[in-house]
Amino acid sequence: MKYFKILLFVFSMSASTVLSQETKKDSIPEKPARPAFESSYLINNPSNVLFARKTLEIQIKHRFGLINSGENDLAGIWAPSNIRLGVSYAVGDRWTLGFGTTKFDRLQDFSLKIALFRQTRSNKVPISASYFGNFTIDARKKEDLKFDQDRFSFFHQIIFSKRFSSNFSLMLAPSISHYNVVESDMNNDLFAIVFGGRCKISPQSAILLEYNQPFASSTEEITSDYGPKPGFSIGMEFSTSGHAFQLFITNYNALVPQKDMMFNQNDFFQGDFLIGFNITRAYRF
Amino acid sequence: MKNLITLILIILFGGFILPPMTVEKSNQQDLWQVPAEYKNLENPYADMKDEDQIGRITFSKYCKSCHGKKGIGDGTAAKLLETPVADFTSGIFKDQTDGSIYYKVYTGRNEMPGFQKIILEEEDLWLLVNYIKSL
Repeated sequence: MKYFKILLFVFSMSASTVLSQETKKDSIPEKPARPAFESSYLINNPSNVLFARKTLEIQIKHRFGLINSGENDLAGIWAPSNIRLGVSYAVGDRWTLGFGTTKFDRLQDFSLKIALFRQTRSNKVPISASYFGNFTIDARKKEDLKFDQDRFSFFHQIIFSKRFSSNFSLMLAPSISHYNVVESDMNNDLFAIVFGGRCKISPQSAILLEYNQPFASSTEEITSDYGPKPGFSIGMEFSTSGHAFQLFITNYNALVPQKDMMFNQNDFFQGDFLIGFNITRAYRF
Repeated sequence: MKNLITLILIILFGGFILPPMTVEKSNQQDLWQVPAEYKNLENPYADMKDEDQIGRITFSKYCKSCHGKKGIGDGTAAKLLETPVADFTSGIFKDQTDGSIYYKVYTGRNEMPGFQKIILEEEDLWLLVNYIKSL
């Protein structure tokens, strides 16, 4: 009985000792990790980043001509260029609607991005995942296309990302592209994987890298020389309080992801690359 | 004739003397009243080690352009402002409570923007306060 009382006393003291170890941080609920990337686009591909509710983001993307075109065009800067003007609005903290208009083929894209789950600071949830999808209309003159449905293409992607530290983040994003109308020796659908990363070199600047591998196959019984070339981009990002500026070289110039993935014939490692830049500006209401 | 000459002299005198008498920009900020609840607000992250340098990154992104790299008010954008930019290294500034600095960053005043809709994480704002005080 005596020992029982001693044991009971010891247990009661140890319970209060355990409680007294609780710190302010222990009582703070699990928080999402800070954004892995600065803007909603890595270079050509969307990132997993979604802004807070009521944020309006303006996107300007510009791709000059090929550097090796052989024309006297200042490394493609004076050559015909492709431009996309876009806007996205964060309707909620976890979903964003977007619209963009692109010069080549007069593409009009309507997009949706949804945060599926988010990396937490404790790493209990080790990665983030977002869904990005778009529906794009080729708005060229009717003479160029036989049926209205010929104008449509679709893109679906799941973007996995991980913020390893405040200076280093990686991204992996499988995707499916679909065109209602393609050449006879092509499939309407194409699977691809994007691999990208950001490495900060100062509080406001970072090196960006992106590689896109399409997995195309010819239709049965028809052999084809068709095969979209992989995409490769490397550049720098400079961020301010509201802007992110990206300057890079890339072999992708379509500005709408499914068009790049399905139809790109520029081979980066054969010298088919161009200078491009992206500017994004976020307005928070 | 005498009156005309006098009048001309007065106009010329005024024309030379008055323009240089521009209002000099004060090098002192007007007193910024901070509500008592913010003045006495405890910094829950006062002893936190900022291993990810969130305070420094946030300062660099949002504050450096006006307040300068070292926080002495010599940023490139400071010249464009009418309001004198605070020197974070001064004794007067450092005598403030953490809550007062938090309030000023959060709400802003005149040419100083408020960051309540920009720095959304409370922790990031406190880490910025810690960094500013360390300058």
